Amino acid sequence: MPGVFINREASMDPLKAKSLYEKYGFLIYGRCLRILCSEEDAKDAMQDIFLKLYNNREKFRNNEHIIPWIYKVSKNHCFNIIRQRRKFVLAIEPDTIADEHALEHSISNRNLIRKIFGVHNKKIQDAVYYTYVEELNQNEIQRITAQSPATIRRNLNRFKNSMKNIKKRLGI
Amino acid sequence: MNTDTKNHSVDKLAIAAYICGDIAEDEKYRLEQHLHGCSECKAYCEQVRAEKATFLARYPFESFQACVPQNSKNIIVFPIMYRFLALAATLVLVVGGPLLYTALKQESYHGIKGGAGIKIAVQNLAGDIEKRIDNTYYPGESIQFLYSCSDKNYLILLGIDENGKVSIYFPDAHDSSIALQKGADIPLPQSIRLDEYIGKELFIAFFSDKRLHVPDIRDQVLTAFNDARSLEKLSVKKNDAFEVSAIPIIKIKPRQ
Repeated sequence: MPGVFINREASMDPLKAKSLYEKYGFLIYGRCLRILCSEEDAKDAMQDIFLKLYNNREKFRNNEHIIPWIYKVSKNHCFNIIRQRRKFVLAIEPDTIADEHALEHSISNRNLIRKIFGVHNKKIQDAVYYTYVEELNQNEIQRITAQSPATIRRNLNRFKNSMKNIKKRLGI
Repeated sequence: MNTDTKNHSVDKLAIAAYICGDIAEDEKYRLEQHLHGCSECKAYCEQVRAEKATFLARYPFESFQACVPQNSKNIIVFPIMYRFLALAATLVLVVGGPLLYTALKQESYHGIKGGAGIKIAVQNLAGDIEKRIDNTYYPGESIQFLYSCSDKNYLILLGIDENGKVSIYFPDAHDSSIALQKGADIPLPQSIRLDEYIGKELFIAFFSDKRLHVPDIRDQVLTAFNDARSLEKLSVKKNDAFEVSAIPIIKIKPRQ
């Protein structure tokens, strides 16, 4: 009985995979760790996202699009994981929103992501996530999300206003 | 890249591209000039470089490779029409074997996501892929394990012989289990070449939706073996933590 070599879509060429992994693996892992706040979870998520990258590698016209793609896909993938697990719920923590100017410095990624999940508008989520968690500037966010700097500023203000409204509702 | 070293924010995407080698020559030159005069960007660049080095030291490609399918001339599977025969043979081995093991039962899975199982393909001494209807193998033959799981699960695969010697086949002996990608009949990265040992051996695959620690599982198997005092009476049952799939084999002397 003759044997056959594996030839499935998910198969990997070890040399190509290794090159890609050593180039971008750390970047994917870093994004996942920021969101999932767990090394094990980040490692698992990194595996999934790397496979997506590997399977889509031919579609990039040039490498300059890969890094923004990694930021975008990592964020979407990890947010989906959180949604599926219902690990985070919107929790109002008055202490962390008492001073909006200190927002980006005083609260942890985990708390911030929890708050982002309380916002249902994806564009606002993106603006807040890339500004405060990834700490990217508006030109960089534009490269990832295609939101103009003016739109990003508007979305950040909406987020801050929503925090203020929550404070008002709580009588803080 | 903003070349103003006094009034700018660090361009993190550009620095990431620089570290990844995804930057055009002219841009690279401009960035390097900028880094020379901007301590903030230079510090961030060094930070990213260190993150990359730490990541690769901690999670080298080889550890990642162990849990994804790959193209390799060492990996062989049965042609499609023989897969059913191989599956049937495996089921016969699992269900009809003389040993008391918990076979996979679709309706009673717990401790794993979806269904999962393992089967084997064998390459005989002549180099041909063979249908093996009994559980008899020969030293020098190569066994390729193929796993199937309908969702991401963790796997530990080990073998135990009649003397109680445990061999860890997947992953490394001191590691934790590694998450498998879902799919059907996916070969594990390495095939196993059967050594000169003659006698019975049991391959046991532990699937779980949670990470398992290899030394813990090995200890459980050894404890069960010491209690049973023989492979025939050994019972490794599934529990809340994992699901078990077992394949008993007998190795005999090569045909003359």
